[in-house]
Amino acid sequence: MSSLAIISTLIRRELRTAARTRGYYLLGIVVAGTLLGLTVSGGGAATGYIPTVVDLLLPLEVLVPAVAVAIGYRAIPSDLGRGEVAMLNTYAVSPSAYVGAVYLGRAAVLSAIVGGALFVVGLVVAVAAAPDTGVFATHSGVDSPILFARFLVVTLLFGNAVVAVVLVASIAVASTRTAIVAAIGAVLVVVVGGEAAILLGVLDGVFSEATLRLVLGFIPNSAYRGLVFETVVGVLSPGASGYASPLVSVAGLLLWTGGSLGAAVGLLRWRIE
Amino acid sequence: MDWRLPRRWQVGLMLFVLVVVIPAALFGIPVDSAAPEPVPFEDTRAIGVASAEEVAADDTAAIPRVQVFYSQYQYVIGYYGLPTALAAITEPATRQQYGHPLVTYVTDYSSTTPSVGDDGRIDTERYPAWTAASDAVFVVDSGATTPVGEAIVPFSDRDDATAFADDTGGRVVSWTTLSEQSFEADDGAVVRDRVSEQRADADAWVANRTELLDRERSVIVGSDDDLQTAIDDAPNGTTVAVAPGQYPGSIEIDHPITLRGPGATIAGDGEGSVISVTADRVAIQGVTVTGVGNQTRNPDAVAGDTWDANIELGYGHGDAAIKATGANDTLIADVTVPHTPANGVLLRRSPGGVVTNLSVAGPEDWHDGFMGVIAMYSPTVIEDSAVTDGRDGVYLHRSDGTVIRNNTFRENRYGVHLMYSSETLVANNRMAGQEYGGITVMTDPTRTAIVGNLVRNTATGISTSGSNAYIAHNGVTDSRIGITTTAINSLYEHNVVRHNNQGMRTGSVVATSKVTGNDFIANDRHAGASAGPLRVWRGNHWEDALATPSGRTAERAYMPTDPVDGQRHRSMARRTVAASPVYQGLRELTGASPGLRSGSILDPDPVEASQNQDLVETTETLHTDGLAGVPATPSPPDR
Repeated sequence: MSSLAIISTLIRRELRTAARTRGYYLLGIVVAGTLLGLTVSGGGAATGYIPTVVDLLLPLEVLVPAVAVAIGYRAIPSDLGRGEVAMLNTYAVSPSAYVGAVYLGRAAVLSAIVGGALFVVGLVVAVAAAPDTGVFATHSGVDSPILFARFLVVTLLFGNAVVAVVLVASIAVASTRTAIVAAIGAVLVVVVGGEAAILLGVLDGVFSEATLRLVLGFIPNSAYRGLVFETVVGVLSPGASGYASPLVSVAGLLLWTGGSLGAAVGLLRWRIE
Repeated sequence: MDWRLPRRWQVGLMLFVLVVVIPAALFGIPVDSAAPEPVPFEDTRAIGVASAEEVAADDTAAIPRVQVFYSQYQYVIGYYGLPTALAAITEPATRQQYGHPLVTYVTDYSSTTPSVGDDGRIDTERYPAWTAASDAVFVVDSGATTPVGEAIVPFSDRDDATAFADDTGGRVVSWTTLSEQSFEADDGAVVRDRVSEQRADADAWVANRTELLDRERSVIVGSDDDLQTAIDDAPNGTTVAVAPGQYPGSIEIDHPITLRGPGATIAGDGEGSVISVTADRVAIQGVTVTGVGNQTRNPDAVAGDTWDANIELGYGHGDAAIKATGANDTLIADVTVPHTPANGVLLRRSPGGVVTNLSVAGPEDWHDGFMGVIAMYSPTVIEDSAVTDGRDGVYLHRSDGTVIRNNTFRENRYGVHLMYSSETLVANNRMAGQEYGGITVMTDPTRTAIVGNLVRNTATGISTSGSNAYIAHNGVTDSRIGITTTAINSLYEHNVVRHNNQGMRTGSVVATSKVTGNDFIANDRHAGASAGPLRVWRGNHWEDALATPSGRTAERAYMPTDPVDGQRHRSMARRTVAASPVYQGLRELTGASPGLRSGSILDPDPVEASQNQDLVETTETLHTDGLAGVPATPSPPDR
C-alpha cells in the first residue's frame, strides 16, 4: 500500500469511529445549544453578524479549547493502550502518517461540531436580524455574512491548533487516565500561560507596539482574538487596524498546529521503540 | 487520452478548494463594495431643520438635501442642507457612533433649471433627483439661502453647475474641496452658553415692561363709575387706578394705558373674553377676573391660509380672562383668575409681552378647561405664575424665544407645552400631578433650553423633541418616565431622576446626544431604550447599580437596559449573575459596534457617587413632601 492510501484508510477509520461515537453527537448538541444560548443572551444577533461576533468572541476563547480537549485527549492514548499502534507498526505505518491521520480525523470532528454550531448561529442571525423599527429606511452597513464566515474560519483555525496541542500532550503521558490531565494542563498553559506571559511583558514594558503585534501572533488565543479584531470587527472602521498582524497570527496558529504534530510524531516514535 | 483526473485527485482537489481556497477567498472579498441605492428622503431619519421651517419651506427643492448610508448604522440619515451634512459627517462623535459614510447622495439640480429669487430662495422647474456626492460638483456663494443658512447647490453635470454659477455669481467646487472645509456643528453646549444671556435678556425685558406701572395716574375709578368709559377717556400713557370693588365686564383697552386695581374684581357675564387688549404697551395689574366665557374656539374666526391656519383656529380664538391680540409689549401682572372654563391669558400676534405673578385655576377636570397662558406668534416672558387644573399650564405656538420661568403648575394635562417654538427657555418651574406630562416639547424645535425645573408625579416628566437642546439641572420624581432624550444632538447634564418607573428613556434612533453627569436614583429601571442603536451615555451615577458583595463599586461599564445589569440595584441575586464570567465575557465588547446594536444604553464610565448633591436633596424632599417641601424661587429682580 502506498503511504497516501494508508493515510486515507486511517482517516476513513477515524471518521467512521467518530461517526459511531454517540458522545460526539451529544457534544455537538451541547455546543450548538450553548452557542445559541450565548447568542440570544448577547443580544447582538437581533441586529447583525458583527454584533453577534462581538458577543461570542470571548466565550468562544474558552469554549473552543474545552471542545478540543474533549475531542482530542484520548485519540492516541487509547490506541496505544489497546496495542493498536503496535499492530499498525506491522503494516509499516509510519508514525507521521498515523499522527497525521488521527489529527485530520479529530480536526474534522471539531470542525463539524464548532463549525456546525456557528453555522446554525449564522442562520439564526440571517433570519432574526432586523432593525428595531420600520419607520425609517434601513440598510446593513458593512455588516455581511462574509464577515461571519471569516469569523467561522478563524475560529476553526484556532480550534484545530488547540486540537494539535491536545494530541501532543496526550501522547506525552502513559495512560488514558492521565491523558486528560495532560491535555487540560497543556491547554491551560497555552490559553492562560501564554496570555499571562504577554501581560507580564506588557507590564514590564518589554514589548514595543511592533513586537507586541508579533508576539500576539504566537499565542493561540491572542492570535485568534487579534485575527477576529483585525479581519472581522475592525472592518467597521477603516484606518482602525493594527490589532494584530494577520499574516503573523495565521502563521502562528499554523505553527502551533504543525509544531505540535511534529512533536507528536517524535514522541510517538520514541514511545513505540 | 482520458482528460479526467484520477478520482483520488478529484477528491483531493475538492478538499483543497473547500479547506484552503474558499476560506482564504473570504478574506480577499471586500465587504463594502456594493453601495445601496438612494431612498426617498421622507424615509430617512431627517436632521437639520425644525418642523416649522420645513413646513414653511413648502417645496422639496428649496433646501438641497443629503442622505448618508453609514458603515455601522442601520438607519439612513437625511440632512437638510449640505453644511448640516458636512458638519455631521466630519464630527468625530459621528464616526464613533455610525462609522464612515459608505455612500452619500445629494439632490441633483442639473436639468431642474434652478434660479434664485430675490429672497434668496431656490426655485426649480422640476424636482431634483438623487446623485452620488462624489460624482457631483457644487455651487457655493450663489447668494441662495435656506432656512438653515447659505445654500450649497449640487449638480451632477458640470456645465449646468457652471451655468448656474455664472447666473448667480457663485463658484463651482468639487466634493473633495467641500469635504475639506470645516462646517460649524451646533449642539446643546452652544445653548448652555446662551442660557445666562437669555436670563439676563429676560430680566431686562421684564424690567422694561414693568416701567409701564410707573405711568402717571389720570383717574381713580370707584365701583359706582363706568370702568369702560374711564378707560376710554384716559389719555395715552397714563394709569387708570381702580378702587377695590366689583366691576362689570367685559371691557376693551384699545390705547396704551395702564390699568391698576388691587382688590378690584372685573366680572364678565360668562360670554366671551372679559378684558380684551388691542393696543401696544398696555399694562394690567392687580385685578381679579371672573365670569370668563366657555368657548375654546370661535367658529366665526378667520385665520388666513398659512400652513398653521387650522392650529390658530383650533387654539388661538377661544375665550380668555385677558385676551391680547395684535398688542405688542403687553404687561399682565399680579392678576388672579379664580376660575376659567377656557383660557386664563391669551396672547395672539402680540410679541414682547410679560406675564408675571398670574394665578389661574380651571375646572376640576382638565377636559372642561383650556390653557393657563397661551401665546401664539407671541414671544413672551411668563414668570412667577401658577396654573392649576388647566389643560396646559402654558401653551406656545410659533413663539420663538419665549421664556417660561419660576412658575408652578398643578394638576393640568401638560405643565408646559411647546409647539413650533424654538430657542425657548423653560427654567426653574415646579410642577406636580400633570396627567400627561410636565414639560412637553413637540414638533422638532431647535435650541430649546430646559433648566432647573422640578417635576413630580406625572406620566412623562420632561419630554423633549427636536435638536440642539440643553436639558440640565432638572429633577423629576415619582413619574412613569423621568426625562426622554428624544431631542437629538443635545446635551442632557446634571439632571436627577429618582423614584420613577423609568429614570430616562431614549426616544430617537439618532444617538448624537450627550447624556452625562446625571444621577439616577431609586428608579424601578434607571433607563429604558426604545427603537434605535446602542446609545453611549458617559459618566452618569446609577445608584446601587454597580455595588458588589464587598460593598465596593465595580469599575466597569454599566448597561441600564440589560436585564441583569438593569436590575442590580433592585435584585441581590442579579448581582451574583452579573459576576459570572460568561455574562462578563458576553458584555465585555458590547460597545464595539454601537450603531449596529439595538435598543440599548451603555455607560462605559459610570460614576460611583452622586454628582448633583443639592438637587439630590431637593428631589428627595420633592419625593417625600411634594411641592410644599420645595419653595418657589422668585424671578429677579426680586419684587
